[in-house]
Amino acid sequence: MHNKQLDQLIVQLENYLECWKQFNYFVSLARSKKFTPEDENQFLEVKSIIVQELELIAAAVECSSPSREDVHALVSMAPSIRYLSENPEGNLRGLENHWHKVYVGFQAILGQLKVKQRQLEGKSFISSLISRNK
Amino acid sequence: MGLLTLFRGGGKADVRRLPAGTFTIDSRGRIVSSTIPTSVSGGQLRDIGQHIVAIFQGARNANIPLYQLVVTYGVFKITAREMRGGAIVFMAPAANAATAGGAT
Repeated sequence: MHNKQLDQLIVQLENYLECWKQFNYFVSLARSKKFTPEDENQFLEVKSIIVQELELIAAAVECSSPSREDVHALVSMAPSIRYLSENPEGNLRGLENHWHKVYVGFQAILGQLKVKQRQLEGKSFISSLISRNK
Repeated sequence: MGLLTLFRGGGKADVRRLPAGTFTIDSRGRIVSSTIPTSVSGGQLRDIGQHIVAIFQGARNANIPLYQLVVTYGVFKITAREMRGGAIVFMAPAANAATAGGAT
């Protein structure tokens, strides 16, 4: 993978992780039971972005954990803020647990990509030194 | 202000559906992901995105904590939330924003 492609993928994954934070924000709205129809719309949009983006990321990086099934299961567990707000606290905790597992999994993938980025930067630095000395 | 003139037509006016959906942008204002129909011009989205990133950037430079930006037009609403330099931008025609989902 070229440096530029890798840089783009890292930006994409960072952006993706921010979308996951938004997901958690809407879960907290459900817990507080203070939300508007607009929040419901936005929650649906965030889930759409998450599911779409997953395909783009999966096409670029091999991610066995979290798997596509993990993400889809999590999104399916949260059809709306209203649904979540009517769930018992135990279920919300389960959802948060699942969210956390997925979030940490993607952070790990981001970390691996950053390692690759450093390795590539190191290589290109060494090769530029070699070509200068020639 | 750029956001106020974004939808002003240049010449001949044609009736178009207002864009509805969401897109995310990185810190350079580049679109990263989008649920906006492809019929909406990418240039217009980039324009909106770059204005939004510039506003968040300006607020950061001025040490003003700005997390969310809401622009309400007569029948259209743009809500942008800051995401570590980038942003998530929700675009909804006013009718959409009021009807869907349940609320307490």
